[in-house]
Amino acid sequence: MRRHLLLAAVVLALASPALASSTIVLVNNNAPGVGLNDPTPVAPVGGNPGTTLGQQRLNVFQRAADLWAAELDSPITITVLASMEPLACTATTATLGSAGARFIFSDFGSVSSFYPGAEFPNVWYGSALASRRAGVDILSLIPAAPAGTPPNTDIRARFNSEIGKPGCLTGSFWYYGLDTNAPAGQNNLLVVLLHEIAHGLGFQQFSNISSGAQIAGLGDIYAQHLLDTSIGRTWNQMTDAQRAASAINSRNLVWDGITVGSDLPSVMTRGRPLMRVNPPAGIAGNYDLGTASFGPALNGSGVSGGVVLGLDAANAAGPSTTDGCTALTNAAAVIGKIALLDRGTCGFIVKVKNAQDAGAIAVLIADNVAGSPPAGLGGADPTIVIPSGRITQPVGNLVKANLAGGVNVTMLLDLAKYSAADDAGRPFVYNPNPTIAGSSISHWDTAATPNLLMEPNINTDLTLKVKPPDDLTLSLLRDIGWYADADDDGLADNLDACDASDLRGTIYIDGVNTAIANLMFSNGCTMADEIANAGAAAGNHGQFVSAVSALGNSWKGDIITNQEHAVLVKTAAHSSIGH
Amino acid sequence: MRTTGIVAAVALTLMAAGAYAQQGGNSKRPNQVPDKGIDDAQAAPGQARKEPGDRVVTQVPSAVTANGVNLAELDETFDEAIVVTINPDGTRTYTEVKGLEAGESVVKAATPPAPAAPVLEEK
Repeated sequence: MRRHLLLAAVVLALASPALASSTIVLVNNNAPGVGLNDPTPVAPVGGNPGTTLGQQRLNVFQRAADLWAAELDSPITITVLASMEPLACTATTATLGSAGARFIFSDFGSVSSFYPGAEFPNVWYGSALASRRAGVDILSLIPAAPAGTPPNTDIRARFNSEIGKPGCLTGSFWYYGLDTNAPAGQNNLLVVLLHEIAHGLGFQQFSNISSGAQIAGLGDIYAQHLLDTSIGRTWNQMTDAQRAASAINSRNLVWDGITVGSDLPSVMTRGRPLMRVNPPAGIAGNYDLGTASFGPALNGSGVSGGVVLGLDAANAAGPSTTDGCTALTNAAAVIGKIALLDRGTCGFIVKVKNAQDAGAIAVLIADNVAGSPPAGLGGADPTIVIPSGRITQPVGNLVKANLAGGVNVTMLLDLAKYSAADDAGRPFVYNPNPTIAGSSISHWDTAATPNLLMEPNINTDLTLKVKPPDDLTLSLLRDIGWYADADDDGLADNLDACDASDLRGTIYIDGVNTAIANLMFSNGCTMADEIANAGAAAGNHGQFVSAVSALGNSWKGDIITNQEHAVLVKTAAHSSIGH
Repeated sequence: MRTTGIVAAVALTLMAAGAYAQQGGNSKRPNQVPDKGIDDAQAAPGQARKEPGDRVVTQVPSAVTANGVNLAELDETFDEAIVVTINPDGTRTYTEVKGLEAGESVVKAATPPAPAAPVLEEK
């Protein structure tokens, strides 16, 4: 037989019209009267028509689910155990919520040859993705949850119901609109949900980043694409010790997935903030620079100059003579130069303003604690008109050690490099040193410009778009195995000769049900597709009937009976196709 | 959809399918960069930051089905929990931690809101 057939039973299981996307169902885990069922009357807001607090919350959860469902193709329903409940908070700090996969699987097969199953052996997948690739709800392999406990779901999402109430981010409420128009000071629930649900869909790794230990000694599909460029290994190829070291090998851990790599140029802008040491040759090179929220932004040409250590009095305002917390005492040396100051004690804007007043053309602030990459400089002062940036403590020490011989640097945006990617165009994964347990590894580097949904911060300029040219989240999900499959027949679009297949269980011709089983071939086309294609190619009705007859002849024997062939030809003849 | 009958059917189907398939001027502003504030500056240099919620991967319940499928159930320490702090100047600092318990630790450890003076080093 020249073509491999899918079992008819599977076609029947897929008996739905061609649909791009998937379905994400919320399982409301709140008791009556609270959380997602809170009956408190509210006014509709931001396109959210709900008139009770619970309904508005549910609407936001469902919108987040729908936005993701629209981007991910899967015939298997994705389930989210959802709730809003009191979580930890104070007047100024609060847990907004959490989410993640509840069950993981490895070494699973698939329901048919059209579904790829696990791409790699010995690699964990979250259940939603595993089901998508297996072609069945893989949670079926798990015993049902005991009575009285929440049902098994792919994802768990718990969010804080108390936000904005007294003592819980007092006055800073959730915004329940379905847009990005949250008033200043409010927390956009929809954006936070998009971010957290993405973790549950696979934007997360499962090992312990302190020890490098894995669950049952197996890697995971996210870690499969974490490449440490220092040693040329992915996380799944490393020992535990190597993984732990890689977790803090800042700016040397990249995502090596091909979809992200190809999409990155359309999403991420060029311009990586750097301090470029010119002479002396011994330390010449590029060093990461944290940018400032005040003063002029860096540009491609940058600002160049000799570096001079700024000196000030050691006093109550700042105990060090290099902290720049009071007026610089060596203005004659600083004027026209780039002042180097140490972090500590007073605000960054105080330091930079003092250096500016002394005549500096720019300011470098060296960190006073170990850690990398260098964070930014916070603060606001419209009177500051010189650029500034932050370097790590070791780099600061390196510069200081060479000042006697003269150090000349350029502070610039290197437009040859993407804002948060290596020279090969692979985005940096967030891995600061020291680690930040929940933020490290499962996010993009915070230097990415524009801001990305899956940075560890919920930035106010985020949109609700998750794919290029706005974002790289969907690209990453593609890389881990959420392949595009517009007709949900299991075969990836790039392998599918018919990516909008007619997947009805029986063959219809011009709306007439022939009652003949509609099987799918290995190229992704069903029998109905081939008949439809014949109709599209036919110049007239006679040609269409002849084409159907020819197809039927090619199927006779293994696929259809002589009687079924006759039914096909008769139905085609009675159709209006070609007239 | 998840009935006992389908559980059996799925297991058989997956077994038949095999263990797995082989197949082939845009500087960013630091409000986007987490920075813990003046406490960071006062930490001892090189001191490892204590992080709550490190995962205990050895305690994750896992099993292997008869047809070779590995499965494991993750507790909430594997969830990504997001914690926000509103700084005195109104800006926000986000921290993601592993699970709600870790989030609670972060919230409890957070310093109370600072008075207008002294000025914090990082905003």
